[in-house]
Amino acid sequence: MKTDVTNYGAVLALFRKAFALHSRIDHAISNAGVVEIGSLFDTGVTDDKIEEEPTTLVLDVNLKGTIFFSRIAVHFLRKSLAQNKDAQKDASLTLVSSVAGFGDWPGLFVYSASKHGVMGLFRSTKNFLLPSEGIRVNAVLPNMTSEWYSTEEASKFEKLMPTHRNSNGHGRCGSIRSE
Amino acid sequence: MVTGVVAAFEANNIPVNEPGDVADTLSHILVQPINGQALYVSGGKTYEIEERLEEVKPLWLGKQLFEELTAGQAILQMVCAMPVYHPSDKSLPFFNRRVQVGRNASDAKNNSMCTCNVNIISMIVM
Repeated sequence: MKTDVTNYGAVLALFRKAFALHSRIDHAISNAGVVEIGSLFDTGVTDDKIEEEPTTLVLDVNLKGTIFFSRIAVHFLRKSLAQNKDAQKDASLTLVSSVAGFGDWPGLFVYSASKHGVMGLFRSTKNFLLPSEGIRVNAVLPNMTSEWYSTEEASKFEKLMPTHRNSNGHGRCGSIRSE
Repeated sequence: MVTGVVAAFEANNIPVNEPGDVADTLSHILVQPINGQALYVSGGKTYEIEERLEEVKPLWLGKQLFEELTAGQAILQMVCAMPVYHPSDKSLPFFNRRVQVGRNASDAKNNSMCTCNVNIISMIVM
């Protein structure tokens, strides 16, 4: 199911559909992400470029999207645990951060800020959601990973965001899928 | 976008992950009763890096600052009436723990400890 994680209503619709289909949600993985777009400080010595507000898409997808996803995921995991209390004994929320969620990566300015932000959400929830809701919270931080999709799949994703390319003309985005 | 970076890593003999390595780590989280773990996937291997970070916080901040920090956190939890979770296992490893995940997990039970710590790994990738 195509989902724009920057759109609260779209994330809500994803979980509503999953719950309507299966009457139960056991695990939620927040995986959508995009890499750095453009170069934040590349504004030259004249004032032409500084007039232009930079895109916040990286922050919106990676951090705002994760926050939206987590809020809605916890709601539906709670609902699922309550409605399936005899059958469901476990629920988890997994946040995908990055090596840029703790390392120093000059050039990945907004990306690093967003992935550090994901770790902030992880740390503030990891000792809270289990005792209060019975929901386990963990994070995954991948170092450099080869591309997971084929060229054909990549072109499908790039069509979703034709205006958001980085300085090399490439874009990359993740997705959330429901069965 | 990362294709060029991956090629540069490989040209310098720095191992990169396959997508399956990350997927195996995600699967590990779903089926194991773990909470509060930060699983770092590097060079196709998975390491738990949050426990060690918690352990070295007093070294990083110094005793006084660390005690101020934890006292403040405890008060905030009381003020906000937040439940506090105490992990049952307090024995923390000196090194970041290597976590066996995925298809080959059962083959490598003896290799449960990372032989290098996270600082060395970071130096390599920078």
